[in-house]
Amino acid sequence: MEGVYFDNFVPYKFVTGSAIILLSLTCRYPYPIFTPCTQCVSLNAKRIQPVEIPQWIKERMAKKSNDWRDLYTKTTEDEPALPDGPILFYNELVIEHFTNPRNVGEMPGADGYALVGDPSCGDQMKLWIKVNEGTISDIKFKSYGCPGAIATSSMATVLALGKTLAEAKKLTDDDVVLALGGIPENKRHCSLMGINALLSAIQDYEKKHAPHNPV
Amino acid sequence: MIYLDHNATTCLHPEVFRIMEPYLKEQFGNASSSYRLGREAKIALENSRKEVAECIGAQSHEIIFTSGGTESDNIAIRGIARKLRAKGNHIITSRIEHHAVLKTCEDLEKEGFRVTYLPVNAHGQVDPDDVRRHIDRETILISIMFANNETGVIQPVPEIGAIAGNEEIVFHTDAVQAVGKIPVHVDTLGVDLLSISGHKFHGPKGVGALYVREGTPLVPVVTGGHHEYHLRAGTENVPGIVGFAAALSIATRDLLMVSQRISQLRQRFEATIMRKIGDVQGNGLNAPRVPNTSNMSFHFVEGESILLHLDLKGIYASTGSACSTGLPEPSHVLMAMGVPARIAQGTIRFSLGKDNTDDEIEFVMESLIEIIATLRAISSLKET
Repeated sequence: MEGVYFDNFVPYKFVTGSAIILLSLTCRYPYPIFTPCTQCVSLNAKRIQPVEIPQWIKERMAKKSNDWRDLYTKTTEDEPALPDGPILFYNELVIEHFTNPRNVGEMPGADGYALVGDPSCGDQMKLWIKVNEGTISDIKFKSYGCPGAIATSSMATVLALGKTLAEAKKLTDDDVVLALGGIPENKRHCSLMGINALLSAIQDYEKKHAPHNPV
Repeated sequence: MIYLDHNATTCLHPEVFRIMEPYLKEQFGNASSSYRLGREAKIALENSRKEVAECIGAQSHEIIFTSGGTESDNIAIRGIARKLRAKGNHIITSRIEHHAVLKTCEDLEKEGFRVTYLPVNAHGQVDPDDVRRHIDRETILISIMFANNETGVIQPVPEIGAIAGNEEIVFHTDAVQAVGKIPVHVDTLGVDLLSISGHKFHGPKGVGALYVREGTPLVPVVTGGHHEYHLRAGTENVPGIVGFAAALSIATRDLLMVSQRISQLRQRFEATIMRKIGDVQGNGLNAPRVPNTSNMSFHFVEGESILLHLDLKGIYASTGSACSTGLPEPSHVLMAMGVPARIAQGTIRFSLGKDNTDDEIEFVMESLIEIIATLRAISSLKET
């Protein structure tokens, strides 16, 4: 898959097409395609060469939707989508998240914490969130598991960071998989762990804070 | 590229390729044809048979060529089970066998056979006394592997062979991981059937052999022709067989030299890893092992994650367990040895080969130290 990344209004072609989705999800700007925030730039994705702006992006720019989910909706034929057929191997973005996972660490004094396990394969994840005015202002995780588990844990935290609790609760394992540009079928179950951890941590936060400080 | 997965497969020896080449080109005859081209193929086939027999202390007519270890195991186990069904229906094997043996036995269970899967001790070895205890009047076959593919642990095959001989029970051993790595002599081992695979010792893939001691009752599994003493029908894979025999000869010739060098490399590798990385356990370390295999469990990290990091550095090894859809599949071998599932999941098998160098092993050790530290830093199991 291919994607386009705009750095300082110069389009760059990505190795992995999901990067475009990734950018749209990881920053709070409604139109990351036009104006990548610093968080986007720090993703350190591989730039290959400047490319022409594809038609589908031009159309999407014109559409000006406020919902990042619209980016998933295919509008033209040349638009990249998840690859057809079974996915056999980890793609470059998954490997990149595996070797360089985002938001790793522990958080003393976190507002919400969860420890979840994937009973089907023994994987385990710890997740901490900090909530500021109903928004996830900081997030940290630690995971034990296969590359699929680590990459999806990382992506789950990337997706959740900066979202309101209501938005974060709407995230699904499909969002994680899509943001990673797909994951081998037998590893799909891994993507549930990050989302489960996120939801449990939010639940933990709400349990602790609801009576005194309703969100 | 640093290849440390020689128990999975090996590269073709260049000399073997040179010997095979004419049989892939102009010497393409069918060994069953009566004209000259066919006769030449037949001669190559029979010379190869003799060569293989000499390497394992057998006679020519006791070797049948197959498509590899899995087929050899199938012919041996199914062939004996069918032939001796009237005599009894009990088979003894172990829990650490290769799936070629385990799945075949499970299949025979569906046909009404009783199968005893013997346990192993913490070092990964079957107890010969256990074999003796489980023999009953119905027992028709004992199948215990020679060297385990995951741990490299050598089983007490000669002792079991003696027991089987006394009780007059057919004894099969899957020697796929032993042949070419340690000396194998069928009379010393006391085996009636022995499986060999060519691509484990720098031969071509898709060719192997089954040693069948003269007088061993066996019915064919694949029928359709007179080939291989009526035990395995099908036009002989002459280029493969020629390559198989050549590879086995070379491996047998170089065996002592290679195994000495490799075991020194492994010794240094294991000692360094254990010293420089904490919370590591070597599986089967205190049992006799083939000289090339090292099975290490790294606590708090998962095997496939280690493998991918190694892969990214161009190092190829393997893991016995894999996390996949809804199926916890820690290695059956490690589970049988009593290794806890969590620890089994962090296990990597390094299997060395004749071409690995000191520098390569040095690089692998350095990389491994770094990789384990990286993964432990993000592991939720490791308390900081």
